[in-house]
Amino acid sequence: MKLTKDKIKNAVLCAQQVLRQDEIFNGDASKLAISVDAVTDYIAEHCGVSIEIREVIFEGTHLKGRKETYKDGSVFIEIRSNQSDFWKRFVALKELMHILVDKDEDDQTPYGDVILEKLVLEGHIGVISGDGDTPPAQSELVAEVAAIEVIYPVVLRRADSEEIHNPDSDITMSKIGLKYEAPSPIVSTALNDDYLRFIVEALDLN
Amino acid sequence: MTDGQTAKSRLSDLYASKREAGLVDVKFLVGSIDEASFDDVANEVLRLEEAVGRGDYRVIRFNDKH
Repeated sequence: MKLTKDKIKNAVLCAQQVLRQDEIFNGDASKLAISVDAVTDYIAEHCGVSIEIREVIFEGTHLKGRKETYKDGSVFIEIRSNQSDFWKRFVALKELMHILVDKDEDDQTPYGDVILEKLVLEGHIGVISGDGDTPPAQSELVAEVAAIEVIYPVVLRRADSEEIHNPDSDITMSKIGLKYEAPSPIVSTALNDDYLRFIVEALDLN
Repeated sequence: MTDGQTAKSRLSDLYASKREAGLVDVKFLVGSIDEASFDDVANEVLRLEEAVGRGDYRVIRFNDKH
């Protein structure tokens, strides 16, 4: 899959589409932390697929989750059991957002061995390293962007970003993570100035 | 699958059979990838597959609706 600024823009727009649903967020702070079940039900209905999320017991360190889609519209999302609940939420959201984000034929591949090798050999570039013209090489990262934008809505980040830079504030990444039920590294990425610039540039908001 | 196969060839065989079963797309989320070799991650995928085959999983809902 070739990634472009358009793919990133599509991912962010898909996240905004999800967040506009009344049952998910739509600006209602009482709906925080974002409900994974509500996102699951919305995407299943909107995309006309059946989604089964499984917590799987296996020994692992690197593999956090997998999503498989079959011809009959069945989607299986499998999450490694021995990771924190916040990571399980993020893994589920990332795999769910693939269903919404991957619209083009070249966004999809049934060659798991090939895509895994590409993923490992090219390395995890990370969403904040792209400059907008040479975006990350892994399609998985586009869905990661979409998941970050769902779990921690951008409209709520500006105030947190300002507060976290205030030396008199007692706010921390961990406290924000608890509020949004998101892993601290994801909160850190979401508040990173380079990441935010990446999103803003993809959306041509400058 | 046989014991003499490499992780790569086992994974290749696995996904050939999944394509025959109707698989159209697969995605992975891999963390701490800088510290991982392909064989490390491939073996984790194979262990995931074996666990599912044994039924070592539970279907979950997050029960987090407001």
